[in-house]
Amino acid sequence: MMKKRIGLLLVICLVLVSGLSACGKDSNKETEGNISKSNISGEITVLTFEYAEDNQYIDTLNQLKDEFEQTHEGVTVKYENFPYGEYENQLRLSLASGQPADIVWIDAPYIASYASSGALTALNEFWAKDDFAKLVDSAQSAMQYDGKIYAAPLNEAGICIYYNVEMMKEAGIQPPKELKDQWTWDEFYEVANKLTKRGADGAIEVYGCSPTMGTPSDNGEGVAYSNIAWVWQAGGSVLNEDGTKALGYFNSPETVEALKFYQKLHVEELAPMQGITNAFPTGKVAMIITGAWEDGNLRINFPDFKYDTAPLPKNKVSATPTGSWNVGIPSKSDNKATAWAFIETMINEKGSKLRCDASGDVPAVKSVLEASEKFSEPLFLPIKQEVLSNGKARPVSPVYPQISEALVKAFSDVAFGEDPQKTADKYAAVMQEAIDNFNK
Amino acid sequence: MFIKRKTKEAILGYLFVLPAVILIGMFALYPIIRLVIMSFQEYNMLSGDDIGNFVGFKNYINAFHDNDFLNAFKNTLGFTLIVVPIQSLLAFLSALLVNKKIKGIGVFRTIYYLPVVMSFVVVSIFWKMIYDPMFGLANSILNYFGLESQKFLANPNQAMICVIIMCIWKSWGWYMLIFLSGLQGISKDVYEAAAIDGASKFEANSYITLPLLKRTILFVCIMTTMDSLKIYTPIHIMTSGGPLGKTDVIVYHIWQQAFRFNNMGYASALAVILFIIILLVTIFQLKLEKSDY
Repeated sequence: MMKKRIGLLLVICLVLVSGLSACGKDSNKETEGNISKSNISGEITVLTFEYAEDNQYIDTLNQLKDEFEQTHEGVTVKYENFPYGEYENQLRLSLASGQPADIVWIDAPYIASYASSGALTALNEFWAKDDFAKLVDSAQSAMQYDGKIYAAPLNEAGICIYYNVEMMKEAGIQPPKELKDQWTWDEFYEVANKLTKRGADGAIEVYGCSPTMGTPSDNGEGVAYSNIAWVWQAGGSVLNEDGTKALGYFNSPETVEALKFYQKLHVEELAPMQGITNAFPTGKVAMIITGAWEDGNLRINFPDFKYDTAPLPKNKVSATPTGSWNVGIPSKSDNKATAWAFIETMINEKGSKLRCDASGDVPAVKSVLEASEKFSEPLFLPIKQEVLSNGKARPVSPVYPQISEALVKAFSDVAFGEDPQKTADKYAAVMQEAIDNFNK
Repeated sequence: MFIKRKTKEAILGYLFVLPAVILIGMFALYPIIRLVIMSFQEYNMLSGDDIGNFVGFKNYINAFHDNDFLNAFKNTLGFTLIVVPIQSLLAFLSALLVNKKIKGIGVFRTIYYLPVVMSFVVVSIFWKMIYDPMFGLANSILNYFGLESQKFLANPNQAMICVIIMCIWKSWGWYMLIFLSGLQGISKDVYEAAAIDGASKFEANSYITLPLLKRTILFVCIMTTMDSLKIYTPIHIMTSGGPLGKTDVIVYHIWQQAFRFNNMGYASALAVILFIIILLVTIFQLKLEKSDY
């Protein structure tokens, strides 16, 4: 008797639950095929995030929205704002729900991962070829997967060396400003060595440099983004051209050289093993590697601190990793035409200039970047020159999350003393396995 | 319409349990069933599709060839084997200490219990600051006593121990409270009788307190074992599984597979494996109890 009742209860709740979960499916109409200018109407939602305190950027987004709504009758644009740290999760939830927003913000290296899952709409039929060609080269390659364009760049990004002006002066070093004068690795090492200060008991008081965004104890995309520069500068690459091979690439002699150099900086204690809060402006680290965005933080929170920038060092090759935030249209969006029309307003020359002037980001449109006042200032000159001449997109791969993770772990492991060749072999195999599993 | 009284009562009964059944069904039963189904699938959450391809036991077989998972398994086991005995013993001893009628004992109980009410995230962040090799409190204390500075979380051999110390500090107060309530449930008469028979304090503890607390001890052991096997928050915040994978634990590995690499199916299989492990451990511990009564 008892058992029967429990069984009945189970059945009831299963029926209820499956009924509830079925409710969401009806509005999932397919809209492929009927895209034309006349379809621009209705409401679109834009999934986005905000940086705290950055009111100017939000105002600009609202300005673009108002203008768009005025010029396109019957269209409403709705922003769904999330805090930056929570955004990736919200994006996944939105896509997984089957009723996603119409426009989503996507970090550059993850485009292929989302595209290969079938989560994004190919933009080729919307985007005029001439307009696409206006983007800087690295942005063009980052937007494409499997021969199709899946996203549009909101802005570009590049990284450079920020250094403590007083410490540099004290050490009698004049850092380069122009890309053509950039340091070699050996020079960078010498400078880092000179800037490192040890106390009487041998404990480090000032670290010479922090060669990544973060330290070997951190992880996340920022670390991968800056570590990859060392691989490229050594003349290596993480994957082959079409992203199918990591073995023979990530464990090539070039990559191993990059790992050895990174190891040397940490084993000789020229760089910190663990994050120190505000290490750079408080004089605990003399040189850091980061992007244009760091200027805002330093200027606002440490107005008395003197810093300047220099281009990244080079070894065999001169290279800078690029790539920032982009927008895409989820494949299950039911208002793609309107979504694209709004994207166009955001990323064309006018929109690009407006947004990047407000946010301080590197414009992804070549002409806008060249004409940008901000990036003609000496402080940002290295980044501008890098993005325009030696900028390189991170590898395009549907399993990029695994690649990124393995890359970060490899650099971390050697910093903690593991053998560079063995580490490279190990993580090249990890990457290869992820790629092979996906292609199976 | 005539309804039999008994049927009427039955309907009423079902109506009363219905809200609970719906909630449990939606947020516990259905996810578990879905999890088990997903563990046999290759499921990519991002596609927005409801169903993935069935791949049989592939996800389960892969788990036993996944070196990172096996490493995480080993670390979790080590963590559990250290945390469970030490934390339970500390909780028990401190419960004995605060089970006294002294003025102001409430203050001590509160102090021991304070970490429990704090969020694990907050606690993890400030212990990370304590362990900071350059400015951290831990190194200041070591230096004060003339000891050398340590790297703590940035040292592969120390990282796990650092996390363990923090976890014990955080949770021990909770189990102390459970022991305390167990202790106060023991009648004073038994101790008085023992004292009359000439038993010492130590004898009273080992022949009265311990046997009568058996159930409480078992409960604490099961709970700490389960908590330890499911440890995640401090790992995510303090070490991200590093350095050299020394602090990678099962749940962190599952999170990584599911939400970083989008391998939902594989992650589900790992979650089912963890579920089975915890179930087996619990059944074993409960059997242990039954054999004694």
